Amino acid sequence: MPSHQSAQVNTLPHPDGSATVSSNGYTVLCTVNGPLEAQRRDEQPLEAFIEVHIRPANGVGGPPERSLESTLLSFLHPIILTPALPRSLIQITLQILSVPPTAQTLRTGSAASVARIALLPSLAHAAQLALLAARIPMRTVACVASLAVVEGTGEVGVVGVGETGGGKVEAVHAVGYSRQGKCLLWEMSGRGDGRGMKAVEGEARRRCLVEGGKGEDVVMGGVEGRREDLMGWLEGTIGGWLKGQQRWKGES
Amino acid sequence: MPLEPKISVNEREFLLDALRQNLRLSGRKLDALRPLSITFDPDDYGVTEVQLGKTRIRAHTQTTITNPPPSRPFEGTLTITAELSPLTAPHFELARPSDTEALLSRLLEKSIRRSGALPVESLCLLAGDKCFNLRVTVHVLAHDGGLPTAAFVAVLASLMTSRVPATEVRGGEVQVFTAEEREGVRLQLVHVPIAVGVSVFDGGAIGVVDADGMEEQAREGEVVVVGNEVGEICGVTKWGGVDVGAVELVGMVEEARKQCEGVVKWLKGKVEEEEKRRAKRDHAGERSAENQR
Repeated sequence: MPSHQSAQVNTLPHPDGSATVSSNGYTVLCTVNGPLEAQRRDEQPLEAFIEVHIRPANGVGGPPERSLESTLLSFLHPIILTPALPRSLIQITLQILSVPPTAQTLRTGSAASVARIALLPSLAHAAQLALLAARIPMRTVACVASLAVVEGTGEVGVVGVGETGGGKVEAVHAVGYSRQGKCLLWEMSGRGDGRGMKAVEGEARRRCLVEGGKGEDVVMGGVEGRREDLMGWLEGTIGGWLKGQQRWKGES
Repeated sequence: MPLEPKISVNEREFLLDALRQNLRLSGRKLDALRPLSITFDPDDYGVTEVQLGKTRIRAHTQTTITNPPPSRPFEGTLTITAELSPLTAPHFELARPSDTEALLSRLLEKSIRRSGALPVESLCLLAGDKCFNLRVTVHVLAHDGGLPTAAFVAVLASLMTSRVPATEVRGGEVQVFTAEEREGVRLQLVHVPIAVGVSVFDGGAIGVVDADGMEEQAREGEVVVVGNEVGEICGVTKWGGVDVGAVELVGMVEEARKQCEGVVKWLKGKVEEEEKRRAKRDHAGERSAENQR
């Protein structure tokens, strides 16, 4: 599943940190500038002010982007160690570079709500990688899986949003877990009951953290034993980038 | 809010001294463009990314069907949006458009839309009722000078590779076909205008083609020339700055015009290559009903 994910860190020369992430057919470029001097009305005495701005691939942003911004902000706020940078501004700008040509639709509801869920993993991963590249202090890292509940014969089928294979989609979910196994994000669209939610929870946890999120420190770099979960992929990406950063130290 | 980092007095003096000896800090000649490169989205039409030195610009073209404005019932619409955001650098603010942004979008608007590069009559489907609305969005990903050149190449490449859906008008009804039903139609561009900027130094005595970020900060003015493939000048713009004598100005315009011609030839070659690659991938020849007679 992380095979169709790809990421590059620090792709742009000017911002403090940047990252490009592709998943579910979406490509998102995120840049982070910070800590900057906050405007007087935004300045907060005890923590950093976080500004999230999302720009669509085409045209200027509207209500769908504003709604995604508030979701992403509430996901990122507990991750960033904001009290470490009081009275400052952390500026996160996300540019959607490409969108898949055909959009999946819900059985009840519109394509827009599915697009919103399918886009969330790319946005969340790009923002975190860019924050790390900008050396913003963070409490943890979290990964987000987007899942679709497919109508089946009695059994609740949960697959990735891009893997429905033309099946009738009942609901879509975006679920995010921190490295410690805590749920930080749950967005859903469509219809669902307790049984479906339970199945989604199990599948999301499996996709995000195979190792169950025990929270112990692991050697980053993903050299020994490639992990197949999203957290393994995210840690591998960060590790790979850090290795490149420390090349000047030499092998000795 | 953050300000753009300025170059020091020493750096400025050093750069100017070097220019007086016909040298640039990058080692380029005074009349040389930085290497241009272009990438096309393999899955989507009308999505291009252009790199000019460290400057990176992406352009998307989107087509929708709307009603034409009542004052111009025989015309479709073409809109070009260029916005600089904190994505480029933190000193570009979201709410407050900078001068760079205003000048760039004005130049694009004037030289592509108003020069009639794309005849808007060709976007009309049914007079007074239905027309195509083309919207080109320009994303400046990295800014290191030469924004006009990179933006023009990106927008034109995007327009040259984009497709509008195939349509049929029967009895006053417009039928629009999806890409699966019928292949989209290429846009009919009349000419391909490209902008090249000549930066002015030393009180108007020195003209430098395609200044990079540092040279842009040290320059005393700029002349932007828009030219096309047949060597015509579509526009000359000079936004304030130091006075330039008539003879020097003619020389600069002539120099930039030659560069424009070269860039258009290069761009057309690249677009042709891309179209061939797509045709081979999509087996365009096999789907055609035409036969050789």
